[in-house]
Amino acid sequence: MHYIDLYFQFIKINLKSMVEYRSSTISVALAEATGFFAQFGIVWVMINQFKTIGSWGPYEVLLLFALNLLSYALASFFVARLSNGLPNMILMGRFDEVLTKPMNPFLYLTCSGFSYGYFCHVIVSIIVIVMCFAKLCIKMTALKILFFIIVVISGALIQASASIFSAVPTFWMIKNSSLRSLMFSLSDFIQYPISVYNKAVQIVLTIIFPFAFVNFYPAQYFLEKSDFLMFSPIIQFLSPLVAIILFVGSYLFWISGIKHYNSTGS
Amino acid sequence: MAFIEVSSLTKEFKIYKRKSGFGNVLKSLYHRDYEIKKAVSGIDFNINKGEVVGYIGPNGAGKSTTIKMLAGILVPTSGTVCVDERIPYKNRKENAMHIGVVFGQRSQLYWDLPMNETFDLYQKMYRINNAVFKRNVEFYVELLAMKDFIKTPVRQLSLGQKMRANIAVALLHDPEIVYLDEPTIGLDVVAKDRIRHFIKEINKEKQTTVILTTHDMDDIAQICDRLIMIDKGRKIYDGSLEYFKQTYSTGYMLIVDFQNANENLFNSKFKVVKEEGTTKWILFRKEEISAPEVVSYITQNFAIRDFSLKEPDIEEIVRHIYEKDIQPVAYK
Amino acid sequence: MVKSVYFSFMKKAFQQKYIYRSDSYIYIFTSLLSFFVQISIWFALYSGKESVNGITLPDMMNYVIINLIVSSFTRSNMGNRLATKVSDGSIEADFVRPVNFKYYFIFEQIGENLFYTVFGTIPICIIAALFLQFKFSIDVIKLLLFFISLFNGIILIYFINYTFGLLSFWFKTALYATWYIRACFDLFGGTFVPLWFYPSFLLKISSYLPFRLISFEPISIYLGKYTNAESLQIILLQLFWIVVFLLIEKVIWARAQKIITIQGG
Repeated sequence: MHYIDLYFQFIKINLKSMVEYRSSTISVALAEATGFFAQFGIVWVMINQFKTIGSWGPYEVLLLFALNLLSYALASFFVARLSNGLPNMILMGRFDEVLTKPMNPFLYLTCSGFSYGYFCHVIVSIIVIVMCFAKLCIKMTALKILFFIIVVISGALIQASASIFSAVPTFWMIKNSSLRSLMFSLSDFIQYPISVYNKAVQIVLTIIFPFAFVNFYPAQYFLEKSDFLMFSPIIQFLSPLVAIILFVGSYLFWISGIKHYNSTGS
Repeated sequence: MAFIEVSSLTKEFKIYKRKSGFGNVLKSLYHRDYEIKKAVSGIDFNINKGEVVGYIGPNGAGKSTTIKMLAGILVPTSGTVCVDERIPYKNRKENAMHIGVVFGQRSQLYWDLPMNETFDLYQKMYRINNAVFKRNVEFYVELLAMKDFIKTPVRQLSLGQKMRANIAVALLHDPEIVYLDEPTIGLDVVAKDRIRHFIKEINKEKQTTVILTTHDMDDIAQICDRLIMIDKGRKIYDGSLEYFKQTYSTGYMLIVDFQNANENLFNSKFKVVKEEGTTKWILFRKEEISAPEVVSYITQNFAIRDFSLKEPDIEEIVRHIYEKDIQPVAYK
Repeated sequence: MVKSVYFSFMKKAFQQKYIYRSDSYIYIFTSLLSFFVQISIWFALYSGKESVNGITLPDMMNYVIINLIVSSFTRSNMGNRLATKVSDGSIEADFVRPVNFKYYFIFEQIGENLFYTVFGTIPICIIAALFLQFKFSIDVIKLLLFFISLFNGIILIYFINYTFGLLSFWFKTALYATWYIRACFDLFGGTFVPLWFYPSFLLKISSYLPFRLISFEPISIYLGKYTNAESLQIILLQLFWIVVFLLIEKVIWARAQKIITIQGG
């Protein structure tokens, strides 16, 4: 339909831009990749020395890490420019232009703001995931692969929702850099199995800021672990549901932000 | 029903007072003092299809607020706004399909790519059919003389070239209305002329309704037939440009270089407003005395070397109105 | 040598952050969270173990606390700020002023960091020190050596950040130098996992780089991992690297000035 066609047009034009401005693309990608390799290296050093965290072995922890990174990168392709750029857009008066286009503003911003700098993250995290699955001798059936794809997409939706939730207050407050860093810090928690934190944190990461559904719970299905803390084992399958609820919620929040903009202008 | 109908349009903003001190910050969590600012206060006007309207006023008068309500970006506090029988903020997307917006100095083009890439994207976005698209692109490239740089990445273009490209993009989908916000700001004289000529052509060819917001009065003088002026949220003039010049101007100015200095001019029908050496600036109104009459009176009674006649100038009049000045400060 | 005007710049930067201090409340909460993550990880890693590689859990608690302070005090976005100044031309205004650019820039960063450290990190550390087992060393000489080496370490990372930030002049873009430095600092400077746990091949690389001298070695001194003689060696090594970066910076600065004056910024 029209929107799918338009969407591909946006991706095409953004990729063309990326090719045009090769040097900038490459330097961003390199810088981010370096940062992320360092993180990866640090986690590896830690596991190499200590062998396990809680009941989680090295490749299990790396899997969590890589799942988090992958879902974050997939989400960032679409929402990074929106959540980073919204304060500046409103400040500079550039948001009005968005509202003069015959398109849903959310779709317009996610499509036109497609950020191509995350390919590196995606490739490396997929490699790590495949490596972990191999080392852990996990047999993948067609059904498991399907569920894995659903888990990754759910994770991406959850991460995207988090970004959107942290960006929308800009409509009321303009400065949102601190909310963004808050969101990043919260997502840092899930790089490790959340069973190492105390009960309060586990509840927060499951019910209030459900980041744990990005990697901790769903991964256990593949790892055949039962580290479900105080919850029933069904929680390992709930990621898609949580993702949809969160995403719809963040979109509704976005709509209310636009309504506010419509009546106050900034 | 007029194409654009605005009736008792009002927009109020709440300006929250910011108080410092920890106690006040706490208090602000549940209650904040605010005052209401009326940006637009009961404005009425009707605009017909194909009109070219200049919408002017001092900074903070409410111009951009009005335009935003017409474009569907802002919701009015009260009153009605109707564009082509649609309410803009209620049918934002549909309204958007029929309008074009150009913001001066702000580019909607993709930075790193040549403009035709953005054109292709907009074709998809506005669902322009191929025949119309091709025709428009050719027409605009021709009219705006862009053939030479159509394949150049936008970031390498000069400001004038960028503006031309931006205007073309805004008109690709043959919008019925185009809103121009400072379209010639920062451009050199040649570029300004090109843009003004283009707008007039488009209006003639396609009956596009143009609403122009600008501080450059030459833009208005060259393009607009009609002028709406607002100040402090209220409309203070709505009518033809000619009538505006006649009504609000302080008069025509005859600048005469006399043979001798200190000649004594006395006439109830005109006034000497400035003297410098042998030159005098003489102000008169056409209703009271005609230009030939003034000239013949001067030449009959005095020896003069040279003279020139200056028509009322919009910029002058506007400045006069903004400042509520009686004496115009200077003529070009 | 350092005129009072630079302290004014520092104060100004501090004040600018102070105005938006409501912003900082969230920052405090954020650093509290990251602190909490680290502590939880180490508790989990050490469960059932008394010491690993000769390092005990109390050692690790000290490590985390001191690292947190150093981390917040050595934040740097000097590279990006320089790049922005070059691209919007405000760098020219800076050159016209009768102040040494380097000091002005560094002191501004210090002022900003001081705010975050004083209002954000230190309160957390005090609370943490009370609840966790923080070792207060009474050995005066050791304390002295610790403070000197910490001071040097901080100067070193500021110089490194500034010098690489200068590359923005050359390349006209942000180059994201700060990200690279941060990544290297985290990995080879042991900001999260101390170098005591590193495998030998990584240790070897670290020994050739200055990063471990910034916070890892000073903390090691504090925790009594070195004799006084060894501590002095560390301090000398720090001074060596500081001189190295001073020289590198001079070279880059001379080149940068040439570029600015020739191309007009």
